[in-house]
Amino acid sequence: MAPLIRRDLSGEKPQMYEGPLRPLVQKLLRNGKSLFAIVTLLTVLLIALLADVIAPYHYNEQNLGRRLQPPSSRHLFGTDALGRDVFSRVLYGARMTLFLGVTITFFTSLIGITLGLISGYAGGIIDLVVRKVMDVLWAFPIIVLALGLAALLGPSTENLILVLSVLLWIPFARVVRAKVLVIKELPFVKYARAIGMNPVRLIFRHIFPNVLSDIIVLFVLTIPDAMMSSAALSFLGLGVQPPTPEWGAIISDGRPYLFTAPWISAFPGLFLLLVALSFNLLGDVLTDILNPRVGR
Amino acid sequence: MRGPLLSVRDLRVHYATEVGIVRAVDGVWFEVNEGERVCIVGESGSGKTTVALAIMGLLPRNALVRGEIVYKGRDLLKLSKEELRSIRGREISMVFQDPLTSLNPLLTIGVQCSEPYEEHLKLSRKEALQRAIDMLRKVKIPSPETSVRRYPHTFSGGMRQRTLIAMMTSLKPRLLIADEPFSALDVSLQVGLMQLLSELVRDFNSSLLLITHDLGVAAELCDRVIVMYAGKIVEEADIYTAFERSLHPYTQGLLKSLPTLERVITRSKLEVLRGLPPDLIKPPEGCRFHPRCPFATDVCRRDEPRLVEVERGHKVACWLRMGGIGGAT
Repeated sequence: MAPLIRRDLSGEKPQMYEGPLRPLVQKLLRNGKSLFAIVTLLTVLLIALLADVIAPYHYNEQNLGRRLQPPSSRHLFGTDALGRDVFSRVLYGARMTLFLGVTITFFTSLIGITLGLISGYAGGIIDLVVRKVMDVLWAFPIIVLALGLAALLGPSTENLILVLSVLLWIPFARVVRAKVLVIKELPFVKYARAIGMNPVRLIFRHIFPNVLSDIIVLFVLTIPDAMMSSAALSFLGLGVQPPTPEWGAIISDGRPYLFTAPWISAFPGLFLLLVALSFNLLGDVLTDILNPRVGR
Repeated sequence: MRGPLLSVRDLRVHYATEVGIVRAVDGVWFEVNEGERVCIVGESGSGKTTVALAIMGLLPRNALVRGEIVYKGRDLLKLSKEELRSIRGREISMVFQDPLTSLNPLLTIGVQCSEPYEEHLKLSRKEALQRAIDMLRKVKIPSPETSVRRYPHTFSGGMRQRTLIAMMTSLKPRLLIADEPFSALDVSLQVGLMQLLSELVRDFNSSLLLITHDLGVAAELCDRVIVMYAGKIVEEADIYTAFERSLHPYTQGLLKSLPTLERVITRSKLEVLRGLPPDLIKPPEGCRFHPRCPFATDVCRRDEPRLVEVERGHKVACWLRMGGIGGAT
């Protein structure tokens, strides 16, 4: 938003209004935790985007003569059982892992936000049904359900996204619903109803923006969840299929050689840890900034 | 002769709660004529806000409504949600109490004031904003062209209430309901806002249904007063009669508890109504006011008095006024 010049009531000093974004970014950069997270995430993002340029080898370039080599100057992270360069595979893997994390979170948040808004605002039977569905889903370990579903649909990247999107929305729906219940009792919603506003418009104009801060936090915190879950499914062979590099899949490749060639699993694992940690740190700091009343 | 603009017939609103059924409004009849200013007074919990919400169709989910609310010949309680929505904000509008939290903190004043125009007249954003600016000028918001770009937190309480009044009267409603519109504000602001409301209602030739616990405000703004107690109307009269010749002990009690200049000068103590309003889950038998009434007799404890017209336009529900019962005046 462009800066807007405003006048005080007294008409004396014009004030600058810089929009809500700039102070937020400033606060994020001033905090050590979030600064670390942002730098890490930007680096990984850059790696993912520039994988073609940085990677010394193609991710699927096999060299059976140099299999299971320990890290060296030629192969920074060593090589795997097929003689592929682990460094290059990890770089390319960042693409798939980030893509999966963000895409799954996006779709699952769409489901969760929609259901949360509807069940919170409408109440009654609709609310009851949504709540029961959530309770039932919540009763099972997500990963077990995901395994079953993925096995049923067949292992592929599309199915992985589908399965996890259908399973990870519950926190979104819960948080949004709870918030809507509070907001819809606020006086400005009463006014909007007294104006005779169409409910769909009312939800998008008056309720949704007031839930947005919680959604942002939850979104950031769900990305690592989605990444870990998809890595877990890929590790079990039900997600991304070889030879496409994905961190979970690479870790899985190294499993038989954990004691003889630990570098195959260790490096993608380290990256996964780092990225997941960064998202979590960022989410924590965002919670503090956006919902300052939550206990610290 | 034309019928009244709004007529409420035997309205009953009961809330189903976990501890029992709360009879918030229990058989209320009244009318509002075209261009008339009517005031409902009563203590907290007397059901006055519930009556207003029932007219707006904004009662909470747990409310059970009976009776009729006839507006221009149509029973509002029988309309579909869509029909009701087209009336709300356009024909019948409502200003609530507590202006401080009544504007969405995330939207500019302009966006919020444009909403009625966009919703009911289907105007474009630009046109709606222009109309909103005109309306804000009418309620004397300083420099409305720039004010529309400001956020509610930069507005003072008085300005916010002006903005809300502008918002709710922007489509010249036939009936404006105002629920304690001044109670959260400074006394010094109240006078200005009362004038503003009065002018708008006059200019638009709207009817006003003012809900308040302050008989002073009622006297300033209204032609007729309806006094409610524990979900029922106990007295109805034009404003002069109500002040000079009120008949119900409750109305008299309310009047005595008003601080007047005379009482301030003579330093006499304010008289207060003793006791609390009754529990509406189990209202007292007979006259609902009898436990607090200084003149209560056996009849009052046993039978419920009906609202009876004692002289033209003056109705009261009290056994003392119906003859046949001796006792105090």
